[in-house]
Amino acid sequence: MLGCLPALLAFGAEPFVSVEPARNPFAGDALVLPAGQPSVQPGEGAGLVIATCSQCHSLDYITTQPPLTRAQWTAGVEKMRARFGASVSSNQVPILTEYLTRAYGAPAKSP
Amino acid sequence: MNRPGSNARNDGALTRRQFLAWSGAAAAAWPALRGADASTTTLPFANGTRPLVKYPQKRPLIRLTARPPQLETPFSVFNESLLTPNDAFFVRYHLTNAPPPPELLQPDRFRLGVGGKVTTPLSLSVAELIAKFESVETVAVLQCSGNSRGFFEPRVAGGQLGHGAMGCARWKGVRLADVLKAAGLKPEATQILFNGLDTPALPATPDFVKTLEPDLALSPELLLAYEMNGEPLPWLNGFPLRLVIPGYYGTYWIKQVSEITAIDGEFKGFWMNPGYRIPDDPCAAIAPGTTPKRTVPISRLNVRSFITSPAAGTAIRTGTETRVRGIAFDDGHGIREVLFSDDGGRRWQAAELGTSLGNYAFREWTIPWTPSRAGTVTLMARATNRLGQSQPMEPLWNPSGYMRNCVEPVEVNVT
Ligand code: HEC
Repeated sequence: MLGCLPALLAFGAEPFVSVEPARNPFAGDALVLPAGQPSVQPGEGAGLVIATCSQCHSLDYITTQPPLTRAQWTAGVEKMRARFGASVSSNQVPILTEYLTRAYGAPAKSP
Repeated sequence: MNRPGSNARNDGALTRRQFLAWSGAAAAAWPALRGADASTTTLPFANGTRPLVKYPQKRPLIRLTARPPQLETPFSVFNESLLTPNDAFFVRYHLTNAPPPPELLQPDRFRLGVGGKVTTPLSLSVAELIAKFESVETVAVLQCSGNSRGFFEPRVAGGQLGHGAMGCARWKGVRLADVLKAAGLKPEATQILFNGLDTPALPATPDFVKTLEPDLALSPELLLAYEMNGEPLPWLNGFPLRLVIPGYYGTYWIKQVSEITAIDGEFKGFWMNPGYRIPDDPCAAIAPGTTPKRTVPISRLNVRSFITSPAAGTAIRTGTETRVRGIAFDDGHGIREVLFSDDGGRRWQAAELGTSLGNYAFREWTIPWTPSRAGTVTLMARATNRLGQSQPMEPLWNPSGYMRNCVEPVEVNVT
């Protein structure tokens, strides 16, 4: 299944890795960050998540998480609110955690 | 065939199958991604697909998050050179307004302030720092506390990194101790605070401030570095000035460091407590899924080693001698020995250590190897430092996903 087999067979040819890194060909780049921000899956509550959760960081903070349990997502939303000052009202908490558990959740572990 | 713990096999080149898989599934997961990233890579754990994105002064790197930028080094880079190239070095910021805008970093604008419980407060440009204090160089590993967090089982929230949030560089700078002595720490100073120019979006979010004990801050090994591998620091790695604390996790290596403040008493900021804490236990570990009774701030690196060649999934012929190689490092005691196994850890053989670039650096190791039987073969490396500290065979666990250092098996296909 590895289409690149012949090239890989040559891996042992150089006995030692070089010490010095290659020169940096990008040193002259303009200091502008790339555009393009990931979004979240559509669904009920997605709009609220986009509005609430992209204020301080991009939404890939959410989309790159492993499947988390409802308890973990609830703790996460609480951390954003209590520790970092996200403005989330108490009636928004269940909407956010419901969406996050449905879209990015893991089944709760049986005890 | 990539079991958890093996290195990401596919960094860079996509196979046709992976490309087809990505163009369907992952494209749907990244609907709003403009600027059409040419490729992705998949780290070997659930939800491990990431875009490869080019940032200023960087080659395309594995992007964990866009704002603030968090970029991971493709694992194959660690097989290219012992010093990690600046354009491949990982990037980790915490707060929204990071990296700080270039206007704030201009030579005539950027200043380092030293104040608080000192006899002579200082305000210095980088040029003044260089003119006033002796410059020295050190080769040291910088590793994120959460490097390899994606391999934790059960999984934990946080940056889902493979093994690429580490790197080794030659840092050049002035000694932090010399600057603190010039400012004159008052006897009542109990902690030294370090702050950089990154700022949060909302005032309610705690600023990223870290503290060191005076004893550590006055150690001659700590640098205020302005160069990395013979070039000015890249913007995303702290230009024009960052803290270098050999042997300590990256969380303390403040980038764009602009404020040093000596205080009496104990600093209570979020990023020291409850942030970046580990279970108060010699192995920083507790039973998976439980909560630690007591925690302490994360501090020194533990012992790690990696096989950098062959990459996981490589096909190798029986009877052909090849050379297995990799890297090992610890918190500065120095690597004494690296053992290698080709049978899943039953028998071990000593590898040959390469030239030392210093006790804080990546240490190369190599061993000739001739596979004798066909099939899936599990290769392992296990390092021991001069204190006798080594690596556990099985992963340890803590709730923040810090300090993974177990033996990382690499499976290859012997034909
Ligand atoms: C007030 C600012 C702010 C808002 C609003 C915010 N976050 Fe965060 N978030 C942070 C900070 C700061 C971090 C930690 C960054 C770091 O460690 O690099 C973070 C990290 C995270 C992480 C990574 C795991 C962790 O705990 O570090 C997740 C997941 C996350 N946020 C989800 C959310 C969700 C879901 C929302 C919306 C309910 C949200 N955030 C809104 C500031 C915010």
